[in-house]
Amino acid sequence: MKLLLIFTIISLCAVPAAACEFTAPAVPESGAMYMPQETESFQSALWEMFCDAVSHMQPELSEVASVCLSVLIVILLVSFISQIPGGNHTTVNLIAAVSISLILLRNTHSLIHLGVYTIEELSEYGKLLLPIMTSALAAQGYITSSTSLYTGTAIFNTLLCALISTLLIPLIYLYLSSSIAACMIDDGTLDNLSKLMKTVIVWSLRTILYIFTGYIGITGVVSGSTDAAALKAAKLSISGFVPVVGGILADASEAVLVGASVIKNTAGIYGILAIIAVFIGPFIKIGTHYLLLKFTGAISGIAGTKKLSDLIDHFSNAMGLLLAMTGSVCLLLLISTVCYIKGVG
Amino acid sequence: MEEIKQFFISITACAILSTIFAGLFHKNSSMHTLIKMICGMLMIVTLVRPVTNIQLMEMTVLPRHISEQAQMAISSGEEYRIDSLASIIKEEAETYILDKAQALQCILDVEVIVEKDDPPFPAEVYIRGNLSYEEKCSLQDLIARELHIAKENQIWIH
Repeated sequence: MKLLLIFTIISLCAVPAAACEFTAPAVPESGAMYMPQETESFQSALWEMFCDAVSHMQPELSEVASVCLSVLIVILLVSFISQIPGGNHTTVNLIAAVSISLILLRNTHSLIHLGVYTIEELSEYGKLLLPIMTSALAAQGYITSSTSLYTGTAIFNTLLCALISTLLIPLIYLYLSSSIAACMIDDGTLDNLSKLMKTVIVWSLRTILYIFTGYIGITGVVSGSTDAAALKAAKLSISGFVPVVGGILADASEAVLVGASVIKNTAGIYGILAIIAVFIGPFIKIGTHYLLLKFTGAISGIAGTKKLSDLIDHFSNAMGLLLAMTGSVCLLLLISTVCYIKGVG
Repeated sequence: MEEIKQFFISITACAILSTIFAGLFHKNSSMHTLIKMICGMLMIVTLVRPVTNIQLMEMTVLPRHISEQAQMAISSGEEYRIDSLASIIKEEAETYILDKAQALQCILDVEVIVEKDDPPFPAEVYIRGNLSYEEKCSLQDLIARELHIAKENQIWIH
C-alpha cells in the first residue's frame, strides 16, 4: 500500500515535467479548421471532425453538381445531334469529347493540386511527429522498436511521397490524356495504355503499403522481443542494487516508464487526430467529385455513347486514384502512429 | 524517379503519335503497315533505352540520413529518461536522509548530486547542519550503507 502510494506520487511528479518535453506538433493550417477543441475522448473528437467536414461540404457539392450538369447537357446535345440523319458522327463525337474534357479538366487539375498539397502537408507533419513519438518510445526503454519504427516509416514515407509527386501524379495526367485521345480517335491501343497507367498506379501504392505493413509486422515482433528482454535484464540489474538505492531506482524507473507512456499516448492521439484533420477535408472534396462523376458516367451511359460515358468514367477513376494516393500517405502515418502508441510494432 | 517519369511520358507520346500517324492512312494500305512497323520499332527503343541508364547507388544515401535522424530522436528520449530518473532519485535520496536526520532530532540541509549514468546513482552529498560526533558517524554509516555514497563523497558543512 505504501509502495503504491509512493509510486503514484512519483508518477504525478514525473508527468508534468515530461509533458513539456514530448508534445505533438500543432496541426497544420489546412487541418486546423477541422481539429476538435477537446481531444480527450477519441470517438467524440472523430465525430466532431466528421460533422465539421460534412457541414463544409455544401458549396463543394453545388460546384460539382453544376459541372456534372454541364457534362450531362453536352451528352444530351450530342445524342440529339446524332439523331439528325446525314450528320458527321465522328466530328460530333470529337467535339463532344473535347467539350467534356475541357469542362472536367479545370476541376480535375485543381483537385490534383489539392491532393499533392495534402500529401506534402501530411508528409511534413509526419516528419515532425515521428521524432517525438520515437523519443517518447525510446524513453520507455523500447530502443530497438523505436529505431526500426522510425527508420521504416521515414523511408516508406519519403519513398511514397517522392513516388507520388514525381511519378504517379504525372501518370494521372498521362492516364487522362491517353483516355481523352482514345475517346477522340476511337483506338484500342490508347485504351490499353490508359489501363496500363491505372494498373501501374494501383500496383505501386498497393505494393508499398503491403511491404510497409509486412515490415512493421516482422520488425515489431523481432525488435519487440529484443526490447522486452533488455527491459527485463535492466529490471533484474536494478533489483540487484543496494536495498534502498535499488528500491528508489526501481520505483523511479517505473514512474518514468508510466509517465513516458502517458505522454506518448497523448501525443499519439493528438497526432492521429491532426493527421485525420489534414486528410478529411480533401478526402470529402475529392470523394464527392469521384462519386458524382461515377453517377454522371452511369447516367450518360443511358443517354449518350459508350465512348463518352467511358471518358467520364476515366475522369472519375483519376479522382479515385488521387484519393488512393492521399489515403495511402494518411494510412501509412496512422499505422505507424498506432504502432508507436501500442509500444511494439 | 525523374527517369521513370520521362519513360512513361515517352511511351505515351509515342503511342499517341503512332495512333495519329497510323490513322492518317487507310487500314489495308501498305503505307499503314509500314507506319505501324516503324512505330513498333520506335516503341521498342523507347521501352529498352531507360534500362541502360539505371543508377542504383543514389538509393543508398537515403537510409543513412534517416538512421542518423533516428539516432538523434532516440538519444533525446534516453536523455529525457535519465534526466527524469536522476531528478526522482535526487529527490528521494534527499528525503531519505532528511527523514533519518529527523529521527535523530537533527535539522539538516541536504543536497544529493546524482551521476547521470544509465542507471543514474547518487554519487555525492552535501550536508549542512549542527550534529554531534556520534550523530554524524551514525548518519555517515547509514548513507554509505543504504545509499551507497562513500564516506569521502559525503561533504559535511558546519
